[in-house]
Amino acid sequence: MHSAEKKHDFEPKVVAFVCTWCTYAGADLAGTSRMQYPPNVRVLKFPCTGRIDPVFILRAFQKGADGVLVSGCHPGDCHYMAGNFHARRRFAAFRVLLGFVGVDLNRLQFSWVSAAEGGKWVEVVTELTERVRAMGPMREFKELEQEEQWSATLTTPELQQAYESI
Amino acid sequence: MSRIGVFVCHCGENISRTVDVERVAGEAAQLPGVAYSCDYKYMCSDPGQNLLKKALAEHNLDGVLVAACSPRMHEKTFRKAAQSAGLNPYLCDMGNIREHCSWVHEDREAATAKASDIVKLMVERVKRGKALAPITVPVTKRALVIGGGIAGIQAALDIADAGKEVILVEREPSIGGHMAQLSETFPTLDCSQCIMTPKMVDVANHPNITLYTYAEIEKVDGYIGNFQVTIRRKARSVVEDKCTGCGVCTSKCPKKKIPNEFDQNLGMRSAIYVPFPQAVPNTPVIDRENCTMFQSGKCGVCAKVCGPQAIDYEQQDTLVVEAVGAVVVATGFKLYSIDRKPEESPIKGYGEFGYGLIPDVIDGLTFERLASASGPTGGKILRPSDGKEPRQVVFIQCVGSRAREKGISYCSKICCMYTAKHTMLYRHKVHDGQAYVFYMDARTPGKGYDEFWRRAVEVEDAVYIRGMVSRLYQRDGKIVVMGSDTLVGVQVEIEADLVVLATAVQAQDGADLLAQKLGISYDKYNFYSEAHAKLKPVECATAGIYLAGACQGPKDIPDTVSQASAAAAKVITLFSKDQLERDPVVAKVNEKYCVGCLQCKKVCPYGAVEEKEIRDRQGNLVKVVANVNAGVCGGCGTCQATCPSKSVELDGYTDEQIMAMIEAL
Amino acid sequence: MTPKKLKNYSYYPGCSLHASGREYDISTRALFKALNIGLKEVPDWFCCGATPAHNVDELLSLSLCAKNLVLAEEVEGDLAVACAACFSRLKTTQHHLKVDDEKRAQVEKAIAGPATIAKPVKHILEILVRDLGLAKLEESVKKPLFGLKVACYYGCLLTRPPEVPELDDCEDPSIMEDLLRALGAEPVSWSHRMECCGANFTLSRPDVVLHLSDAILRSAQAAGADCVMVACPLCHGNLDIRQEAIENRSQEKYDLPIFYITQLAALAMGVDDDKLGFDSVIVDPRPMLMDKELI
Repeated sequence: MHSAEKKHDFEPKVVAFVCTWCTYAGADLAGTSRMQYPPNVRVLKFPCTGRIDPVFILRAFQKGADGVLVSGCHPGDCHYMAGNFHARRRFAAFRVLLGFVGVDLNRLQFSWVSAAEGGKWVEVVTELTERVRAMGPMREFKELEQEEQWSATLTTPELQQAYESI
Repeated sequence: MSRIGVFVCHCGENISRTVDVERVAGEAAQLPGVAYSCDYKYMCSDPGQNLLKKALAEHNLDGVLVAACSPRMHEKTFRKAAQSAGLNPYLCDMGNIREHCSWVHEDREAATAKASDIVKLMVERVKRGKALAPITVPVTKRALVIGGGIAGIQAALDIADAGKEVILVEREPSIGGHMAQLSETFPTLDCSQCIMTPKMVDVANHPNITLYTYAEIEKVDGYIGNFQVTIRRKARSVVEDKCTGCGVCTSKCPKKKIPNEFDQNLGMRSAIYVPFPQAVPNTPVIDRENCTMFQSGKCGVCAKVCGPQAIDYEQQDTLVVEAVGAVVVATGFKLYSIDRKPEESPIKGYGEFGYGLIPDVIDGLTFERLASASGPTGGKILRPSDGKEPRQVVFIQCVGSRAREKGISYCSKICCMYTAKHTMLYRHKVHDGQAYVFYMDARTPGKGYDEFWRRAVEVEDAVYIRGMVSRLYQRDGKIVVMGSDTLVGVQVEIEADLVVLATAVQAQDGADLLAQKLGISYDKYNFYSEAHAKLKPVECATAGIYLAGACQGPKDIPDTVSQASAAAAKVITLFSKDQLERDPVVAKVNEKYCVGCLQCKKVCPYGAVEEKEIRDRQGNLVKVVANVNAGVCGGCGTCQATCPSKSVELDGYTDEQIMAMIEAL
Repeated sequence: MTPKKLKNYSYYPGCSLHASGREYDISTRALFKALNIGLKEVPDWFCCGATPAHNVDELLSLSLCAKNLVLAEEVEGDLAVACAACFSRLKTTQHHLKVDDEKRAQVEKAIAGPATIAKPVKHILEILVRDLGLAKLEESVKKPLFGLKVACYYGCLLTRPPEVPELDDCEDPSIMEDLLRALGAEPVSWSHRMECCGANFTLSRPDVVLHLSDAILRSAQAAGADCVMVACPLCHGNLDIRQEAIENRSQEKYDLPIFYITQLAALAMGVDDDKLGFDSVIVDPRPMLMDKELI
């Protein structure tokens, strides 16, 4: 288990896309059981893994995530009957694509964590965090985004203001 | 610019011990779009809620974020509070800084930073939230009950007694199901028909119940509150309105040697027949495959003797369409047959038991008919081959059940009890007879059940042998049972006069086809799946459809009746409102962008997506787009992640909201 | 006119067929010759391990069979096996190595080479009834075995476990009966077709063998059989060699000749009875066959 006293040079950003019925509840259980895990993970809740668009994963990497976790109900346990099956297919294909564009697939983890598996949640998050920590910061997409910033004009004051006024 | 209010909860010390809540609130105040922030000891308490309500009014807030415990805990609480202060409840969200932060981290600095991040992300989400109104759907206050066994009868009576109309559909010519076939019932040994037939009569006489026997479900359209069900009423060849049930036709029918299915083929019936004397309705039906009139065009005796002229050889199947608001599925079970039918059965053969070719090897239901006072032997236990009274009867449990290698791994649940009952019934009728039972485990949980089983062993002298039977074969008019006694560790050979197999309880024939019509899910054994194994054991995942009895899994009568009444209660609850309100987290199609590829329709687990034609004023077809039926949509969002043109969106989880959260990482 | 040359087979006799079950080997070769089916012995084959090996060391048992199967690749044609025990072990090895990669790796290490063992392994019964076909078989019969009542004895190995031999229904097979009917004989319906004869307890626990084999002979006799037909040299040994001991034990007179499948089939194909090893068995079948005017 993660030790809070241990200081690290690099604190990775890990984003978890989870379904509300199984993995979110599993993470809740880890909380009510007072289990400990690295504080690097930020959880985004979805109704179902079926809702998770692969674009979100790309965007997360672009926006500074060093590792991404996608987790939902075990196959056959989907609250929506089949959403996680669609997700599984989608991500099986997406993974290959992501590998093709040069992302180290060790940064991306898919898992099934049920509402009863607080311990598994802790394991999965800890393992991914430590793995990504060992790999160091993910630079590829951030550099890409910088280029994008150069070529586009996203950062004009008008746009910035419009963005903030939302 | 949004005006969001952020409320950070201490949760006593549960949060504030690890998270610097003041700092979180302070940092939140700096976020663009946040107009107000504060921290408070117990946000969920009355003063906490009042604080929220007051701030809403004073600061003219248009969105609320409560950073506290899990939304699974208190989302409803805060949404209600926000609503009472005039805010649309769906503009109130929660950031989980307790279960996901303060409870799982010890480092105060890191936990505080994480809590601030959680607030930041969630603020982006709240900013882009939409005011949503609960979806209302009208409810047709009539229920359909499929299956007229004890489960269907109980559910129908309960719903009808609550003053709601019920359509009860039964596939066979009479209601009653398997329970009507039983002799006595465990654990009280009361006569099954004595407790069953009054209920059957109640169904027939109930003003709120429309009974369709000899009918099957043809098609089911619609959704919760609004189903349209097409029912095929098979041609009975007897006009129900005219028939008086006098029985002359059945007694005069010249074709009388047809095995009677109700008596497990032990007795005979005529070609025009009522399955059993207490049948409801007491209207005969012509079995066209065995009727001389239908096969060769010559006979017509029943039509000649029928006083009220109720016989109609020309009758055709008719289709009836009924509008209902809820469906109770109560199609029951069948017993596995050891006959050689490997292509039809998931069980890989029982050649060692002779594939059903040894006449005195029967199943439990056949034994019930032998023991039944109204059965083919008048309640005498006589073996089928020669009508002799068996001196030694061997009962074999778990035939097909709990046999992974044979294809069924589940326990059929009722066999331990009914086998114990059979040994008692046998002993009561053949006083010097000996019953042997081969069993794996005696599973007798249930009120009075274990005592019942012990009685079979201790008082009624049934010999229980723990072990399985490897082979049955005939020798000198007896059936040699070769088995093992695993407690003693010896092989056992018993010469039996009759062998009764407790064969596996399986889903009814055609259960899968009915499930496909209803759009409900079923397991690999064709048993229907409940929405949640523990907390929603009666509901299907498909809204408005409920399960009762053994169609969901092997069940005895008490459990079946409980579930049937529970299903009825669910239906009555649904019918207690004129309008159905549901969570508005549903998908919507942007018809402007939709190109009608209907990928969404393919992935939708609820069948909520339909095609919609868009026409101009002249009525010319402009294009076909997808349309989501909000009453059916479950809100999973799979369609949105699938849509290539991003033209379907799940309220509450829009791309805009999620992208903004990712941007804020 | 000589019939058209049929498909050729490679042949794994196994040790029993070169020893106590020699008449099984002789009659198999004679039958195939009579049917004009090529049968070429696998060069350099050795014991499959049969009943003892897998009880002692699974890897040894799998490796022995795998190596033999690799050797069989050198000869053209599906692998014909007569002995039910060899058949069972070879099929079991194929089954295990197909579903278990770890075992396959261990075996490949043990036999120092790839386990190319996909060649179909076929029991003689399968070749006669399925490959050749009952209609063809019936055509080829020269001396139908009319009036011969046979108790077909499958024993415990030939069809079990269900997922391995894939020969017939594992508890209620009919392949032997089908074959016999095609030969003109009359299979009897009896109870102990699938029971165990005691197998290799014949040396360590003869009392068990006598008990089990007694039940088999008794039930065959009760069903009115003139003889018993077997597919396995071990069963043959227990029912034939031990028959006198069984009779002494139970004070019953059975006098039931025990035939191998191929002996009866070859007889029906017109092979001279001198060439079928009838002289090397204990219960001499010739008086009975003469009685029935079959020889």
